[in-house]
Amino acid sequence: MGVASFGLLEARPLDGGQLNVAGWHALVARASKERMEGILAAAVSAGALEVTDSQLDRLREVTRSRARADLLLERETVRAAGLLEAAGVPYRVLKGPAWAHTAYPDPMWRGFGDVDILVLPARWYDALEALEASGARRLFPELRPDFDGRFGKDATFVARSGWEIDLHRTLVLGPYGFWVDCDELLSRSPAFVSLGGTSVAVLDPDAAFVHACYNAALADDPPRVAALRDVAQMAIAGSVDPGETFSLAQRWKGVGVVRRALAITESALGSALHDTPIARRFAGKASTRDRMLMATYRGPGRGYTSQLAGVVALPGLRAKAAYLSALARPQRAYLDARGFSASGFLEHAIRRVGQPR
Amino acid sequence: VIPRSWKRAEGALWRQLLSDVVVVAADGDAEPFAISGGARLWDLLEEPRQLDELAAALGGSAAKEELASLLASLVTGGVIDRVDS
Repeated sequence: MGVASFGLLEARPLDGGQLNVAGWHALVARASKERMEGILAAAVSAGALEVTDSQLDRLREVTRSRARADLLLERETVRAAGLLEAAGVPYRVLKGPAWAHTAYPDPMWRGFGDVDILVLPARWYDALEALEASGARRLFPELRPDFDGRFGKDATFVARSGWEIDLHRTLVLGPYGFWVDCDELLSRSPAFVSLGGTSVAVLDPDAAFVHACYNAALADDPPRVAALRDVAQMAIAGSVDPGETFSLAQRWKGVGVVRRALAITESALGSALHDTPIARRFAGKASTRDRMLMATYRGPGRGYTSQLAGVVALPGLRAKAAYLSALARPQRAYLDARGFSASGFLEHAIRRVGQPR
Repeated sequence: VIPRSWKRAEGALWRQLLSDVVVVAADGDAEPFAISGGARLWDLLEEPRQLDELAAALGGSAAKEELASLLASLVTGGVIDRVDS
């Protein structure tokens, strides 16, 4: 975890010693898994970690592979953003390339594995059409006809190049995803990053910080180290307005999520985030309701439990009933694509939910 | 004789890592190009540079013929432009 906090304020110091073969192999494997090869290389360059010549050769090899993947994904990002612009669909590039170029001192410090783009919910099906017209193929059909447009979080496409594009209708699954007002989010002035001379729209720093917190606290269990680093990086960068960010998180009922993200980030990376203005603004504990809802995002069955918990965020009995009915009875094409029978799907869900955490 | 210079193409995407650089054109389907020890060269190419200038700045690390050949490859890959000024 020491490498993951390299370059942060008061982070845990690296011991500076030289690792044996097994230790180095494990460190490189972990850095590669977290797509943090660039931070490892920066730590070595800065002399925070001593390496042998053969270890340095291996580091060059893995950082080149990381750079190659990130650059090809940036090219795919430029293409996808161009398609959406041509179709007149408002969008924001999320996560990887957006944060690598805005939150980090060097984009090499933040690797990524796919392209994530948020589109205006009302233009969801136009966005799908634009991607499909370019030759991108959707991996799985929607759960039920029109489910995406009403309740969906995202859809994964494979572009002609073979890289994955996640088209988002909201930021996360479940209740916290429903509470994000994406119309408002896309009406906020975007920030821009330049990728190969093309400006692509990304979330403004305040919205990006809240999204980073959602990503760290809700997306994976255990959280990805890179996601925690995103939170720390933005918290210390000073480009986030604490008052505006708090107000945004309040409107999205996500103050507890930001608090949890800051707490787990500080605990994992050992960086003194509690002294940053943004952490001071969010000081406090998550409410009981938030703790219960956030618990649905953890455990082997979190994909199911967080979606089920989403019902609390939907207004009106009719919407709740339509949502629960869709979750319980996916359409045949969806089941076929995932290799399930109708009963097998329910059994799988029940088994996952019942697995110990 | 018109002096010939080279500079980074506007559509180039790149990463610098340790002393290396990996570059690719944002257009097209070319594979990324890794230049071992190329970070300094890439820094220099932020502005138009002539071959002699690049060779001098890189010191003994690059023979002129090798450098010219590398620049030609980078032009073909779409990551640098030749500027005739």
